[in-house]
Amino acid sequence: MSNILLGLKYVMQWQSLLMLGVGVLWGTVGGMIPGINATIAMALLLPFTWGMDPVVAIMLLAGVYCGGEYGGSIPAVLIGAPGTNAAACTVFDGYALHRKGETGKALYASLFSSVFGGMVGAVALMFIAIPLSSVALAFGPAEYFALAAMGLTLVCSLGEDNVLKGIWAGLFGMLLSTIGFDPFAGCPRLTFDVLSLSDGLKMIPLMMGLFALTEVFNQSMSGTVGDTAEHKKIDLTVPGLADLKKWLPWGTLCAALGVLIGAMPGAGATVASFLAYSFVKKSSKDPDSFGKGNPLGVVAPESANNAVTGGAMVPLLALGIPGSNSTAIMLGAFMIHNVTPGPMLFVDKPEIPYSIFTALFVANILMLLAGYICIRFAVRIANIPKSALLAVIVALVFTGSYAYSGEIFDIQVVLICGIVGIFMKKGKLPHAATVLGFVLGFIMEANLRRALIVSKGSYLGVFTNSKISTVLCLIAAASVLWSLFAPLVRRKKAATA
Amino acid sequence: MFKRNDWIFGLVAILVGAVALFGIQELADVQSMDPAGPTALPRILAWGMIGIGAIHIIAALLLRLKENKGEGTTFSLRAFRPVALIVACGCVFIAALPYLGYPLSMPPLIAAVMVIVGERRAPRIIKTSLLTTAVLFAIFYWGLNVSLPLGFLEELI
Repeated sequence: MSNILLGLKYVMQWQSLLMLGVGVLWGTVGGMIPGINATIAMALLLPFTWGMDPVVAIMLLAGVYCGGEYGGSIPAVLIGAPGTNAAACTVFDGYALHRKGETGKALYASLFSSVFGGMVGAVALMFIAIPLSSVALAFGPAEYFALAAMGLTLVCSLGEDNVLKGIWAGLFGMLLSTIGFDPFAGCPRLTFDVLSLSDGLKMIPLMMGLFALTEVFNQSMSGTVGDTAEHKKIDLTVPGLADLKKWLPWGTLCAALGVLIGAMPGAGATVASFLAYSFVKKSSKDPDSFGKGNPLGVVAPESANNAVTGGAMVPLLALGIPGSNSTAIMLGAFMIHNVTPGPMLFVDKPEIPYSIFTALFVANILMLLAGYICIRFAVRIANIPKSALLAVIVALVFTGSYAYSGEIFDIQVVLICGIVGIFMKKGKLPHAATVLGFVLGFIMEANLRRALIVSKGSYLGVFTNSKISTVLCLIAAASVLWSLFAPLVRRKKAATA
Repeated sequence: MFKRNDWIFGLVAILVGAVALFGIQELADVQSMDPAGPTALPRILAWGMIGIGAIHIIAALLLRLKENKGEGTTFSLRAFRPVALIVACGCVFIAALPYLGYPLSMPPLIAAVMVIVGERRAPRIIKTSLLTTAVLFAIFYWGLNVSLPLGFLEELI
């Protein structure tokens, strides 16, 4: 407790609060811009931290980290283009809510759940950082594989009335994730001699094409939109207590999941948001409403991906291992200021880890304000004429995808993904399954192959050598079977009724 | 679950799977430190996709044989005209970007997209295309230090 008070003392200094506020605002704005995620927003600020006090510098970056994870959800709701990878899941229900005229509900559900998730992450970090790090270390390749497999079972329920189409779209996403240099054999795979494909497809252009450009294409096909008067009043009603009460249990569960996923090196916010979405959709009494504007479809991914910020600090601070790109930047900041993270940091310089714990908590409170300001500003986007909006989205996704890698090839990828996306939409193939397959495909394959090396080639060994992987694989198998047979059971019940 | 014209999806699904199988053909002899090798997952995925495609073709044919007039997804090629035009504009933009640079390539793209989606008011088109380009250029080039292509303008600057 005395250490937490020590951290609080550092955070409550005006320089720290100012830097936290600046960091949160910068992160939120950065997250809102497609192509700029929390990691890039942090990297851009890193040089400015050289002259700062180490604690203040780390607080600035912690603020950016929190804001960045949240900011991506704003364009996801307003234009259907996620600002960050982790906000991809928010598009499904957030954008649907916006189109239904419930923009306020979507935006504030995202803000409140992000703040709540971030706070849960910060509290978890304060009290269970050390035990959590040991849980994270219990996850080896077999467990990661099983976890990814469990997340992938969501594709079965995304195909609406045709489960097989959902599975196909998921397999397609996984196939896309295998493009590029093979991580083990070191040979190019499915590149068809295109040099730019050697590094594989990047997430940002893929998502921009499948979500944003597809939406532009879809709206352009729906007739002339140039004269549409879009100056309608955007509903920005703050959700009431009844809504918050409904969301709280799910938000808590998803935030806990986010903390756990965040603590595992290599998993990250995107995986956490997809797993949380999958979990809530499967556990819901009304799974069919997901993807059509269910606020829980916003609450789940947003609380999970912001809770990751706390979880991701666990391996960094307790073990000195950066588990994600953002925490790697944080490690860079530590090194610049001659701070060595790891167990001894808690003994030698307790003010640093405990300031970070407290700073994350305060940053999430400041995020309420930053989010409110950004929502008020960003909502004007939805009021511009549709023809201009569609053109601006095209410009934004092209610029954002170029900015991410500096390669014109990525603009081509956006364009191709847009074409693929519109045909998928017309053929009723869920994009979400493709993105999910792409995100989890690489994790699944890399860890399966690592696990096979450990189990000396025994596939059965991968599933049975560890209790965690056995349980997770069984849940995944049960989930697939349920998804395949549940529609038949429902149809039979309806027929008998 | 299945529709009469799902055979189109089935054919595409088989085609994608076949392309993947063709793509990994030359990797068959590659040695890898793991027992699965680089071709295992793509092969499983490709066969899975081919299998799902085949199921859809068979199901669609069965529906047609039964003369079931079940609903199908209808495609009107004419409806895809704006998509084709936007894609064409995108291709021109990509081709022009290295030579004309971002500040000169982006306004025509924005203007073209606006015209394609039905905007006819010239002042609005000009204002939106120039303003959006200027704002995006300022944010990315100066604000975020992204080296956007400048084309021949680079020599002038």
